[in-house]
Amino acid sequence: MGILPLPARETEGNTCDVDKYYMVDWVLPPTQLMDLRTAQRAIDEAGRRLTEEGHRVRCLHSTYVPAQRRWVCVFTASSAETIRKIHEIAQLPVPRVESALNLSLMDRLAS
Amino acid sequence: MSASKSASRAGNLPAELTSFIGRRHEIAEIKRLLSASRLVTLTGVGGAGKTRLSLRAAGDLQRAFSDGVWLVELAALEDQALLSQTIASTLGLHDRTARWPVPALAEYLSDKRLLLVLDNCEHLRNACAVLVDTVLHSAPGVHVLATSRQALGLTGEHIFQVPTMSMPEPERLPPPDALGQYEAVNLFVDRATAVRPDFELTAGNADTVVRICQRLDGIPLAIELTAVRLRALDLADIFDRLEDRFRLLTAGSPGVLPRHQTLRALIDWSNALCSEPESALWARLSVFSGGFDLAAAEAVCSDDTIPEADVVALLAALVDKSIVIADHQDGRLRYRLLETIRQYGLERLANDGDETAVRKRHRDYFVHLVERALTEWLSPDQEAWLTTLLREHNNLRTAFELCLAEPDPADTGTQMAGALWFFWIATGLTNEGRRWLERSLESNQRPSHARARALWVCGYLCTIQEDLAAARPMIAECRSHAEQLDDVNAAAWAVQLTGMIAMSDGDLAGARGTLSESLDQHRAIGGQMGILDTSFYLIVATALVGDLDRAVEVAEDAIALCDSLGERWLKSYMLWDLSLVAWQQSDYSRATASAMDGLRLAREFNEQWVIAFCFEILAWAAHGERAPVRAARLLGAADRLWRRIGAPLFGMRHLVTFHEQQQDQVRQALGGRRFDAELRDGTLMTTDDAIVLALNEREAVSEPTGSVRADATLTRREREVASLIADGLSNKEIATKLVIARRTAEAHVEHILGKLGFSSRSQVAAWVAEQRGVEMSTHEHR
Repeated sequence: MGILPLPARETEGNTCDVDKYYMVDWVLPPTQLMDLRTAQRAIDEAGRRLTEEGHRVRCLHSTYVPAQRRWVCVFTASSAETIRKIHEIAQLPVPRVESALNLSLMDRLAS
Repeated sequence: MSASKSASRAGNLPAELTSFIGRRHEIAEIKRLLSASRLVTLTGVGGAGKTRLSLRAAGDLQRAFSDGVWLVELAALEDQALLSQTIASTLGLHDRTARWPVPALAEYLSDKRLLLVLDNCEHLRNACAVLVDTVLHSAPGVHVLATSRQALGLTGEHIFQVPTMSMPEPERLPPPDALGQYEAVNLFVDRATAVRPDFELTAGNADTVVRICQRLDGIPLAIELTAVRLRALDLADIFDRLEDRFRLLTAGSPGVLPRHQTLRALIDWSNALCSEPESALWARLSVFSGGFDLAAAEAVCSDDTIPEADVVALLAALVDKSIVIADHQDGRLRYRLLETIRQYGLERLANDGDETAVRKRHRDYFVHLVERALTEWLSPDQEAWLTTLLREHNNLRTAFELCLAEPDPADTGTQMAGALWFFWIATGLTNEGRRWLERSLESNQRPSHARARALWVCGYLCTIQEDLAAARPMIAECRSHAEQLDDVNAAAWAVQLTGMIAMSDGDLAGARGTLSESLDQHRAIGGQMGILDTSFYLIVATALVGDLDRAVEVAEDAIALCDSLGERWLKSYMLWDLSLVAWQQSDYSRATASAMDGLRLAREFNEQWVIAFCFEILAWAAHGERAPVRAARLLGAADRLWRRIGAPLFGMRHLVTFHEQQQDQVRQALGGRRFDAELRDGTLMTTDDAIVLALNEREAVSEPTGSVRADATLTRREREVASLIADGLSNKEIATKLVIARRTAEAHVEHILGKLGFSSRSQVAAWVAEQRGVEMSTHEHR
């Protein structure tokens, strides 16, 4: 699957690393909204800590579809492994992580 | 004592094995910091005494935390994904749902006032930090005291660097009777006299003792390891050997080693003073997590170089040298190594090239233990086996990690995960069980009997967690493997699970048919565990479709089998089943008797599902016998437990409907306000107190704890007066201070005593002190 990168960033070693988009998609057992908010907080804190340690990762947005019990999060990160690491630190089951495309950004770059 | 830790005791701080020396200033400071912040982290090098200090300070604060002070030891935990489960099970939380453990834990703690001591966080720093951040955000009454070599790095964290112990300067040595003010000296003397009762600090040896403490930088662990050498060496020898060793490390210059190297040097020296077999045993014992017993040490550590017969003497020698700590747990001797010493041993083991062989023997020992437990589970030794497996929980985890890291042809990890099915259910460790099973199943997909068993066990756990979407494919795959391998046992369990899912879906008639089929299959192969387990669900399905006579038949057959085997855990389930049937038959007296019998057994195992179920039936029966107050309180007690377990009444619609109907009827009988009050009283009871109520083991109905009632009933003025009582004011002085009549002040005091259920002013003062604690902050964490 093709990856559309974010604008390149410079790192300390003066090499450019490119962040990628990833999507995590859960179908949940019966879940309370409070649990999702707690889990989101844990993911955000885990992401902050990993970023401080040099593994760039950020949750861009998080959406829950109650009728389907689906929780979808989109991250930018240096690798899928980093996203799995966030979930381990947050003590959530490690989900399937899929590479994703940012179509809005594609459009902006194209125009 | 129940096999697993009782959830109703407020706290679990261990008793101290040795005397605690000094540290008064540090303890006071830690308590002050905990009053200013909800997160305090003790940092410092290994051996500085972080753990002992945290436990001591926490112990002093027990009265300030109405829900207790809880120690969670993390040194042996390698998998960060199990952190929240480890904390939850320490607190006695038996969540059997598929709910994520972090939010479940945060919710459980949200109305608690407790102190959590997280010991040895450094290797799980990020996971600990995220969890602590979540908990402090969700639970305003929780404080955390962590020990770690590095701070957690959270906003609002207060860091306390544990100093080494105080020492005099050798150049300005006070006389021996004045050396007692120095902690390092006191510690040395205390530990020395433990091994040599005739040891005394004198003018002749004080200088040497002080120099030894100086050489060891006042590090408590280093001092302890050195002092015990007086068993075999004299003081001058100890000093000379230390000097030689440190001279070597500092290349002859009298410079100072960094503190962490001092302890390392001292442990090296301790190791050098051991015989070669003792040193080798030290290294091999380091593979154990969370301690070990003699049988385990003999099995894992012996080989051609260390015969099994020699292990006990070598172990005793290591205990004498304080390398190994021995203490009694539940009447049995158990051994452990302090984490710093254990890590040293692991390094030595790796350097010796022995690590793989020893770890495999460790794995094999615990796999064998699990298989024995499974074989002997349906016996009078059930409770003992549950206690044993809980005691060895960390070792089981270590064995699992090796199985996953280095899979073997026998697929040992999958074998072990499946064999522990009763353990995952009896202890409420359903999430952890799933984790090991899912990882094992993913690591080896080859069809096998072990895989078939793991599939139905994992499917079982998913089903009781109501995660049917995960359960269904596992059951289907199990059925396929069972056919392929002609595995009749796995086939029978797959059918049972199909019946259990039908129950969850509300198809009681379908469930009954399928479960009957499964029972026939289990009977045909003589699978006693399957017979009993299927019977439990079949009885419920049969009763709920209205065939009560048949339900009783199945229950009585199952109970007869339990009795013939000496089995008690599943019997508690069957007795609950019988109580449900009797209640449906409006035979409230028999329902009560069966539920009480079930409750007594469930209490032995801390089997919280059955305890909660029995509270429900006893409440319903009490209503039937026109005892609405008892009914309301038991409903409250059940509600409290269901919130800890999740999935009230298995989520079964029929049972939930019964519950709602009963609750409405009891509310009508008592009136809304009275019902709410009695229900609330029930929810405020500890599990132990609720069991006492349920079993009528005390004449009077238990009252909830005084502090909680007082919070609800003292007026603002009364709280003011209570505070002045605690300050030591007389009634006359209170009246003067508040500008009220003396008679009014006296009336307030009488009301306070009555509402709190006290008989003296000193009790009021103690209560106020408890409420004040050490002026704990309950502000938002962020």
